[in-house]
Amino acid sequence: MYIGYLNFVIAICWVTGLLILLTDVKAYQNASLKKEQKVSKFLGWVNISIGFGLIAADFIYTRFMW
Amino acid sequence: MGDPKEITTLQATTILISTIIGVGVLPLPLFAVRAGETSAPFVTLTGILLAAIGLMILTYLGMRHPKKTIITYSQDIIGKWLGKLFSIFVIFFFVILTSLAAREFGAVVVTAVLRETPLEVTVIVMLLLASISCRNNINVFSYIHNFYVPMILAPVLIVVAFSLKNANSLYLRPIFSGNDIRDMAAGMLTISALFQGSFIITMIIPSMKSPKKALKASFWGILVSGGLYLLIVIATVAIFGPEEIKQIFWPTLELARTTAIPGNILQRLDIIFLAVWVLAVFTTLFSSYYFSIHSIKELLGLKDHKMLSYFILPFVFFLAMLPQNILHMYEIIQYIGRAGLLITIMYPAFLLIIDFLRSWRKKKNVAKSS
Repeated sequence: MYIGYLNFVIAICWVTGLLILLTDVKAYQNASLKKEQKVSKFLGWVNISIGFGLIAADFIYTRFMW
Repeated sequence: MGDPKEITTLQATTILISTIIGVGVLPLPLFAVRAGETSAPFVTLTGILLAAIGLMILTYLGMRHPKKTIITYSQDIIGKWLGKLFSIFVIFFFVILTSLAAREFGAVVVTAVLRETPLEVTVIVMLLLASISCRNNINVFSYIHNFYVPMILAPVLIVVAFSLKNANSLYLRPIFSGNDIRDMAAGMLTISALFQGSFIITMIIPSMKSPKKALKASFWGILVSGGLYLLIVIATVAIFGPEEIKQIFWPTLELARTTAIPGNILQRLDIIFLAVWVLAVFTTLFSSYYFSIHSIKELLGLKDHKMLSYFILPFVFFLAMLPQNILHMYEIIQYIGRAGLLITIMYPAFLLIIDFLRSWRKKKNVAKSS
């Protein structure tokens, strides 16, 4: 399967994760929406972690399995 | 951050029209001709009727629960956990639908307009546009649809009207060509699947000023969009003929290419058509993206959906890039579209039957106790 778009996926994961953490978390804090604040913080970190996870998986695949 | 109840019947109609008219416009005549040859308009009409039945069932169900969407009232009808399970299927299906629309858009743009631009870039741009627009509330959502509808409808009608001067009515005969009934049924399902965006009505009804008029909005929505689809198929088949259409990937684009405005004002209308088509794709993508995040919000019991608009973006992009090429993409679109009818028509029908049985039993119990 062609996965030449992996770099784009990693970049989008990081950008969207950062955007959630930098904009939404603060907006929910100001609006006193605690559950939403917690969920947005979690989702932001999930996206950033997926980005790092994909880099690690790509490194392992190209270095040791290809 | 809640959703105000300010959507009028006209706005609900325009939302339906601009949501339904989308990426499917381009390959529509090809799907119809492959299924029915000269019976293509008939196959299209049956597809529209099937979609209309599904939409009416969904609207009627929504009118019985005017304060809730399918995500929440399904939990009342079939139980909390079963309702949540089916809602996950609905959300996942709409995420796939969004990704396939974005990919189809990218494929057309890269093939017909921006040949040097990477496919990934065109797909990301469209998804980013949808995700940013989705951060607004449902009123802004309806204003955007309302604003774009005339720009989507008028040029398509102009292309169809001017192209008809080259039409040959012999290409439309026999109306019932006696093709394989299974092929025709499959084509009918594929065309019906092009109307799956109308599922958005379940999200619109709770925000309508008068949910009782939702059926009227659905009727006009499917009539205008279905009528336009039927006109496109009739015009394309009457101009190119079934055999020629089978050789073309996007017959509607070719129709615009061969159409000229009299007096040599414009000798081909494909660029204008493509500009309009981009708007149509945007509104369709916007609706399915909005429906996905709005439904996730309701499923998780959140008060706002903004963070979800960015969160699902990488997943939608990843799904959009999975098809290997255009042929593979259309194979997946047809397969997913037909399978999706189980979610967009059969599931609401199942819910409506259970809802009727529940209310009948309730009435019986009340009569017994009194």
